[in-house]
Amino acid sequence: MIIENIAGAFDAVFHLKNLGLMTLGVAAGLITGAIPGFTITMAVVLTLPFTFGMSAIEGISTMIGVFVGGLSGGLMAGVLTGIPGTPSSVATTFDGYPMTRKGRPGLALGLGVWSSFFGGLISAVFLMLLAPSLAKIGLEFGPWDYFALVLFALTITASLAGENIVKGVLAGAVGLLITAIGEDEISGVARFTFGFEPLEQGFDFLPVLVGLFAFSQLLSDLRDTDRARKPMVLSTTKIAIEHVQAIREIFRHYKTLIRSSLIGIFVGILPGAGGTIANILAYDQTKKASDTPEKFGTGTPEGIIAPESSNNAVEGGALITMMALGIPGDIVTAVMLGALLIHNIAPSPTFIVTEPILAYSIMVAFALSLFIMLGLQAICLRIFVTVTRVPMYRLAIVILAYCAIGIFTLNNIVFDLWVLLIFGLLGYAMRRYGFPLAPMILGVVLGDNAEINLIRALATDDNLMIFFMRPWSLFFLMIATASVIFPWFQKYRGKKKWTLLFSPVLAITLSIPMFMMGGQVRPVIAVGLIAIGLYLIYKRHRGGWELKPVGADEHQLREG
Amino acid sequence: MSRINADVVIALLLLVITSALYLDTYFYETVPGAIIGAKIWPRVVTFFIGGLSVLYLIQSLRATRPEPRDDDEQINGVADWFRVNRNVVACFAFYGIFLASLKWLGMLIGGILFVFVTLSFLGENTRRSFIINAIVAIVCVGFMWAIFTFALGVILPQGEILPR
Repeated sequence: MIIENIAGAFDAVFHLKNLGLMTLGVAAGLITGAIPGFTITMAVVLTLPFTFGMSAIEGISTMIGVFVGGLSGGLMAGVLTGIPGTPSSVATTFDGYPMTRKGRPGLALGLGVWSSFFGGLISAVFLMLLAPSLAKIGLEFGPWDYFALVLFALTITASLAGENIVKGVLAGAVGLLITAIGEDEISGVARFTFGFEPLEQGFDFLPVLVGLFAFSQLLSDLRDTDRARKPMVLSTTKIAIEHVQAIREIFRHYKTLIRSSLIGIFVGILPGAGGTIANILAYDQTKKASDTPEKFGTGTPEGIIAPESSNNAVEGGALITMMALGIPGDIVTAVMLGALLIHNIAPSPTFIVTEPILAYSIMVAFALSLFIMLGLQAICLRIFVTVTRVPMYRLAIVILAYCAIGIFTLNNIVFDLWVLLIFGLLGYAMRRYGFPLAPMILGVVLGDNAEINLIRALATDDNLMIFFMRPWSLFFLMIATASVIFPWFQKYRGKKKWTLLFSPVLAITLSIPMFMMGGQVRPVIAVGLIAIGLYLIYKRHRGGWELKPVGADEHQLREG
Repeated sequence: MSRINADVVIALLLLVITSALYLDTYFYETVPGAIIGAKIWPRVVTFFIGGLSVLYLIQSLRATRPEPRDDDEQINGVADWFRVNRNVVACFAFYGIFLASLKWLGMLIGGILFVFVTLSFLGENTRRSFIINAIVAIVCVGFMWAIFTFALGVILPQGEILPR
């Protein structure tokens, strides 16, 4: 069955038109990702309007191409100018730029390109192996479980805002509210329209998304006149990527490659977490594991291999969550889910079962994009050098105009353009006042599903206790609660005694839904969780519940 | 008064808006035979936002001072705010005018004018810069307009000026 689906997917992806679109997508991603200020998400969002006329497979393949290209493009700016092209390549600059300054830009780029390739490839293998197995779990979900899963996705994304978690959850809830505006799908009752007719259709996902994310980002880039007018001129114009030397270095540091790729996959699987976290986490872990940590920051190959392999591996992980559970792993997959909605394909845990060819096409397209990226890198490097001579304000304003054209084509109504403007304003204000946009976008994407599943659950039985009696629902509610507490745990770790109990209590309580799930494997996992929890309690008890400094405090003590 | 900061204002604003939205749900008709009314979900969400807004308000009032941002600047008064946000306000205003005039100017002329005027406002005040801005506006908007109109077959707003 899997072989049949993969064969069908190959047949769908390896069409000349699709290959052309993917090549265009990768090239666009490489160039956009390389321009500081233009994030990958923005590139993927701006690609959306062009996908209306395409089939679902073509549209998703093109967006995957943009994404893979964008991740790899981000390293060009980071390595050559010291300014990361995208947030997911921040850690690449730590050693990439010093290596360039030492006169080895070709090796730095080669390491980045090939690490991206191998990291992506490892995650593509995991995607093909893990997604179908995880999808079987998705089939066990009832409306209670799916609603709790949406809550978990929102809280964990909001928790990434750290202590601003209230702002994060608020943003997510406002996202849910946006989807409630307009006629109720079941009864046709107009909600929150206040008699204003255009609102009865509700807000389309795309103008909201482009406004919130791209429009507001462009305007934030234009705020400072001097910065907006300045072109990012490169000191180096002729660079040859050192492919052979780079591959040798990567094979020499294969442990770094595998560890960082696994970190990327894991971060990608977590809803809401993306390449921004993965690349820094992988860099940090590699530095800690290295025999020569003092070399980090001076242009060591490991310092490039780790962040670049992890940020490309993220997408495989994010796609696993999207396809197996119907929950986006990061903002880019949230946009892709939006693209599927445009093609009338609803994201759900049954996605792989109901749309097997499309699901496997996504996996095949992801792997194929990595090869296209390798081929295009050298060409796009030249284009990138040219693009860097264009001042930011010219690029930004032209893109704003393109946004208008693209958004209009969605429904052929000017109202969508006003929606774009209003959500652009809202997005800009949110950025200025420290509200994270990711939870809001997740809220907008998942709002309809959350409502439908809550209504289904209540229509079946209005007893709310069922949410705590069903194992998966209880499991998601527990980890949602843990994700809400997590920012405070991080803040007070090593300072307050209750933090010593956080991990063991979490492990022991999570064993309850695991036991409830039954079967053979899950009760064993539950016993394992209890054992871990008890061991941690025993360890802390033996240590006299003493608080140990962590993170920055630990460094300070060492230095002291 | 020192406790009044942007966060407090936003929290109060959110409370007022969600209260109004919550009250609005009482005016929804009940469809005969419906097991669950259309008002349930909006009520759940607005109630949730209301609760979070109260938390946010308490958090903001308890904060000793507003959290500083990296690019925070000292802004004194409305005039100063406009000076700092001059580019952003101008972009929004030009975009708004562009949308309002679409009916008459159409996407092609309106788009070109929007790009040219905004670029000229943001860019340097030199003749060379104006010429480059005009070329960028005509070529970039014209190119994309042509792709959508001729290649993708999308009918963009034509306006009143250009012949149909």
